[in-house]
Amino acid sequence: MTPVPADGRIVIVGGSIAAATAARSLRNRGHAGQVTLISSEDHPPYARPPLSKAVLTGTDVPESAYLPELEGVELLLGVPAVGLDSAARTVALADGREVGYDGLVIATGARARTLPGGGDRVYTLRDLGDAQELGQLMRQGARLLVVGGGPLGMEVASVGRELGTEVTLVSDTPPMEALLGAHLSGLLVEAATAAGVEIIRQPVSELQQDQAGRPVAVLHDGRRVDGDVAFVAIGCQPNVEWLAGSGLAAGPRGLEVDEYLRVAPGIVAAGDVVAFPAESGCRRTPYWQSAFDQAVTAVEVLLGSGDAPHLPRPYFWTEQFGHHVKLVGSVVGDDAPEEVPAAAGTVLRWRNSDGAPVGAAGIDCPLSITKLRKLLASA
Amino acid sequence: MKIEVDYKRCEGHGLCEDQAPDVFELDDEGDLIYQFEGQDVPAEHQTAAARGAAACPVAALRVVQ
Repeated sequence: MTPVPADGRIVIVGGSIAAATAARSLRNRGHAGQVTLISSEDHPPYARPPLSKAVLTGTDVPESAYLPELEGVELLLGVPAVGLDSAARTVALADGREVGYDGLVIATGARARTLPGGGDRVYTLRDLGDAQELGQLMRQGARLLVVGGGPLGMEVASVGRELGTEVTLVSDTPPMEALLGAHLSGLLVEAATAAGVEIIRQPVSELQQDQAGRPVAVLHDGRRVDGDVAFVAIGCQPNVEWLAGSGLAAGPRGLEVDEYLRVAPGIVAAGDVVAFPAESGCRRTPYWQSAFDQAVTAVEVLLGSGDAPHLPRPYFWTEQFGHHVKLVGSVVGDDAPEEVPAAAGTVLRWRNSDGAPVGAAGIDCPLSITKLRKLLASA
Repeated sequence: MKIEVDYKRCEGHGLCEDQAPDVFELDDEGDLIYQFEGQDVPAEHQTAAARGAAACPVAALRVVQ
């Protein structure tokens, strides 16, 4: 890819950690040209992890999630990008403006997947407004029906119990198992149950609304479970619709990139929108560390200042039901982790069929990512 | 350039240490040791320090000029 000239204009589309990191990296690398960040949100770039934690409980004000201010970056906020002409090198905005670029970073992220039906008391959680609204309802004691046993569903269920609201959680698979394996799923389900969450292991056939306007989940076996509000957390889908007709390889599975995060001449991508090459084809890795690392590499590639491909370094963490779990790498199929001696909490390590360590987790354990990663390098 | 650390917010993930090991360190108890507490960050460490602050997922690190 021909590098963007030193005084070239770089446009970043997106408003969270990948977009902000790309902007900051450009300035850190001394890029002399104009840098413009376009976000559909009214807020400056902010971090999403606190949305299911301290912002949801109301402990922290929304502004506390703002990422550090970006100096020397033009912010176009509250205006979605609606089209891309990669030949003319312009981004079309919803208000009719067109913004030209020499280099483009696509970091439009993902949005919550939804279920049809259920009326107007069905919520998802993706932005600051969602967190404030849902948090307020829970603080008022609204009984919560959670659909989905992934990190977001379980974290919100945990906050619900912390705030004293009744919580029922419906999940077709064991909560947290997809990410953390059977062993840790068991630990967290036990903690959730002890905290008073009713967990129902069933697929949801559909959401309906009862006569009082309350959302009702109709389960696979016909059972009906209601709540004052429903919270749907069944994953996220990439924001790629604005790229329709651009000729880029964008679809429901994400925006396909190569291992250098290149999309097309003058275009790179980073964050939750990206489908990155893996053994089983391109797949998304919608996690903080991934978004951050990808943004740094994407900018190097765009400027021609680096020649290393993006190397995924998976890191995931969650806080729920009194437990703090950190995972580097990944858990593997047979899920028989070994316990590594630790000064505090529990440290587990997973090995693949060749005996090589592939994942390490700290449970209520203060070891940092760097120290957990060392457990994958040695032994 | 200074960095303000909100030690109460820090959860000990260590993304700052990952980005800037000469500036931030997490000890075995998970407590953050910031090398330039109360001082200006030396010029040669400023870029890394800013990158480390920006990597924090819980906004515990603030860059102040």
